[in-house]
Amino acid sequence: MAAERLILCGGATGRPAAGGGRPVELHIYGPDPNVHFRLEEIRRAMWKPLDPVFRDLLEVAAYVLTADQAVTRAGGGRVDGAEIGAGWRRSLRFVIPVRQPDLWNSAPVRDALVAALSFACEDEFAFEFVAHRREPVFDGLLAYDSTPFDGEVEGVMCFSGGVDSLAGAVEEGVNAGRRVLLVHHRSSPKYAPRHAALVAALGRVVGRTAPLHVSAVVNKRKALGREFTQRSRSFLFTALGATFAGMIGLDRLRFYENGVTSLNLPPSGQVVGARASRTTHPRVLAGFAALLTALRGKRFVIENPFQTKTKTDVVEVLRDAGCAHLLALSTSCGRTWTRTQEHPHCGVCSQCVDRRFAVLAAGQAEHDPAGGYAVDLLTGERPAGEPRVMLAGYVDLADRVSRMGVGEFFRQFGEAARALRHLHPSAAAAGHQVFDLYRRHAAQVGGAITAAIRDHADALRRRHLPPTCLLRLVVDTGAGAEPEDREADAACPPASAQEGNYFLRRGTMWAVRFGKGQECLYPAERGFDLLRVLLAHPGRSFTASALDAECRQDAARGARAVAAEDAAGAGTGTGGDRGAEALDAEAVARLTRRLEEIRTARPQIEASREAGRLELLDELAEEERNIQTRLARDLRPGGRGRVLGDIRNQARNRVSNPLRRALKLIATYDPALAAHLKRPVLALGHQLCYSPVPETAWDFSG
Amino acid sequence: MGHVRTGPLPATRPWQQVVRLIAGGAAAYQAATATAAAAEKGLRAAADDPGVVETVWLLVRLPLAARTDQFGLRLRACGVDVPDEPGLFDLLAGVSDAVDAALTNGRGRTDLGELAQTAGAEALAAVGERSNSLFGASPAEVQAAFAAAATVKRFGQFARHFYSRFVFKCLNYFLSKATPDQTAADGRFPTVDAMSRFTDALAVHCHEASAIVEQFAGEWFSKRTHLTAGQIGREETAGFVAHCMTKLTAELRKRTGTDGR
Repeated sequence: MAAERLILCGGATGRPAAGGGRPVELHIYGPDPNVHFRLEEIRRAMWKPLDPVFRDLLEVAAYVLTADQAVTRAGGGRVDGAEIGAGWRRSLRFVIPVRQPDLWNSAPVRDALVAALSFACEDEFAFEFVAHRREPVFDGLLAYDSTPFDGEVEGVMCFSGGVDSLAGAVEEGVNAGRRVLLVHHRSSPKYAPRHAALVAALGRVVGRTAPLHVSAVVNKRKALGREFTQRSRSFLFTALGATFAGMIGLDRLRFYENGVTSLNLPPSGQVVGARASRTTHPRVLAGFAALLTALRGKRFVIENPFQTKTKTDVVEVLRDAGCAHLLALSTSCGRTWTRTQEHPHCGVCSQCVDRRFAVLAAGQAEHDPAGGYAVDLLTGERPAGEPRVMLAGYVDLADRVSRMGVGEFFRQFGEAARALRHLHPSAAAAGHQVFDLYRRHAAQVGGAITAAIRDHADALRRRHLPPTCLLRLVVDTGAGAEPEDREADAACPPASAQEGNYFLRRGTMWAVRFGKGQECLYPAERGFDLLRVLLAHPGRSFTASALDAECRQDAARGARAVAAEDAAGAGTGTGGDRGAEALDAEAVARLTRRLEEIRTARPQIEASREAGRLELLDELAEEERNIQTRLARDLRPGGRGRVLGDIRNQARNRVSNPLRRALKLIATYDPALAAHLKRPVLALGHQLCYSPVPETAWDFSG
Repeated sequence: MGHVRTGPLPATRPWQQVVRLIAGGAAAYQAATATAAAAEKGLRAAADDPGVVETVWLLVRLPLAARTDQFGLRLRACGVDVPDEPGLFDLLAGVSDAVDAALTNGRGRTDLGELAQTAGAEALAAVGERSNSLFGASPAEVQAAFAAAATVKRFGQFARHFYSRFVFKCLNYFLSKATPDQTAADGRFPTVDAMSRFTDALAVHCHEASAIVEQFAGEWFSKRTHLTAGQIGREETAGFVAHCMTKLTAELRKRTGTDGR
């Protein structure tokens, strides 16, 4: 874990731990605040003087969320070094002024706060609460709204503006006929108009019991926005929701989040711990409820009524209530910085993939235009990296679960055990609930894919779709129809079914099998080229330069790039002695002439319409690079050649070093072959020779 | 909400070699060997990892508790909050929560510990799978199945299952950063299913490699149970983890295994 980082809030002071770096200083109040916190759309008739505990709660949550974004994690976690994944988890120590330090420092409150946040964020938290030197004026953070309020709010729920919370608002307003207060966190003004349009449309649909809406603006100075994971975001939602619930006299808050997202089982082996967000995990919600109970001194409940629903089920709630058209105004994308008016959804983040699958599975695509996604779920190209990891993981998880019984499910997804105690009084009932949820999710994803394959059968058959789009990744279309595909396929043909010893070139690798062992692949490096020559000539002794020459001849047959280096090598003074120059004047002149030829030829080739001109240009570019590298390496400033060492040693090093590297690699993967290639079978002295006894046959033909 | 964070393999030579092997078509066993070599230092840290040791310690204590007529009580004494007559789901939840409780406030929490914790739950779920699944079994049947795991042979199998899942998860933690990039209609894995089969082959390879710890684990358990009168402690468990991980990483590095293409 990283060294402890000190977070000094509201002018508090403290001494940082050794190696913890400069403290992060956060201010909501004062002449130069760097945390902008404001409650908007407050109805004067609804607002009552806030209990100090809620003022403190809101400020604590705002500071925690800001610090969460100001202190970086190391990418997905470092994988080199002594601790795998180091740098993902942080140690954060807060000093925060509050109005009731004794309450906040009491064990029940502090323990509940630490327990909930440490599980949600997977960080180590420490809190020290101090008294305000002068109590700040909280009311300065409020912005009132002129909308009338008749005092009839029956519930409070968190409203992000995504599909789940939208369906929750419809469930409350349309299906249950309850007026609720929607609590929203606006992190960026970019999508405020879109969100406002959604709230207005929702109000029109619900009618008489239209929900009320309040927003909290919590953002920070640009320099503090370094980390975007925001695992503590639900703490802010909880604080906001609980504050308004308290004001209205309620002791209950609702998060509407589908069960699959809430549990968020890892879609890929690399997703460990809170890398799969736990913001609405049943244990996190239970933890926040425990904190509020400790703070208020009476029971507070946080519910997720959609815990047993999949996202497709949630879209069906909208459909069944006649509100599916609202989907077009909801926003689920997690990459706020890539959103545009034209494409409010990136289409590649986990939230976008999940949303689009759910919409398709529920048959509501007409209400969620495909054009709103920068990358189409079914036919859009997925670049390498996160976009493809996310898609492949999502589809793979659903496919695996679809083949599992309950036993196999828990034998594969140990992470699910963490939720059991918080879902149902009976762990067994909770276990079956989780399994049923995931099975239904898997079936819905599978159904959406099957329907999409049917709809795009023609494009699939003709291979008109990009090779990395979802539909190509789930249907084995083969790669043999198009010429370019055939070429790519040749790079990685299937495993050889050959028996016996072989040493074969396979695309960019050497495939080697020895004795009774399995085939191993090795990079097509020079050491393996040399080894192949030795194995192909058992009993024949080579000098280093003869082996080098033989190997170069072999390679020259296949690669023009190597031939270019050979040409350059002709001037390396192979007959020279110690003290000779690496490049003589004649060689320099020849290479320079060739460079000129290449530069003259290139525009003519570019202008021509001959087939294969692009390949020729590539070859010339590579040859030019080789010559330039050679000249840079072997010419000293002033144009004189680099002085050579003993040429025999040079030739020996040129073959023995790559050979030893190759043998080292072989020892890693194939101990039997490594043992076979020891002295006296393989001699690597002045004479290099492979003399197996008894005779060992190798196949090089493939 | 629902965000998932992923990351690439480092650009260092050993990891890029792993990427090249996968791209070039290497079988799962060779990818496993290369990964185990690249991550050896990190994997060997398992014996010093509080999360790994706590998980293994609880797995060791479970069969011993099941042999008494106070199964629930004995487990609660180890920090596993379960009813007097726990069912399989109670054990899964109880053991998982007990590991979390031992790492209060995330102290000592690492990725290795996380992987061990989930592997531990998966190993528990696998107890009894050869006969009848314990899912749906009565508490008495569950207790009997765990009590049966207290013999040399059965504990060896139990430990092997844990280590095979643990090592698989460790290797897949790295390999899953590379395999999706090779998944394309014109790539190494033409479909997600092909990628998935590679991952399955890796799991099979890890299960075979973990046979190396089976005999040792059974004998260690029997001996330590006798010497400590069933009170095997965390310190000796750490030694057990260290020995098993040394054997396993060495086995993965030298094993050519079955063809798991």
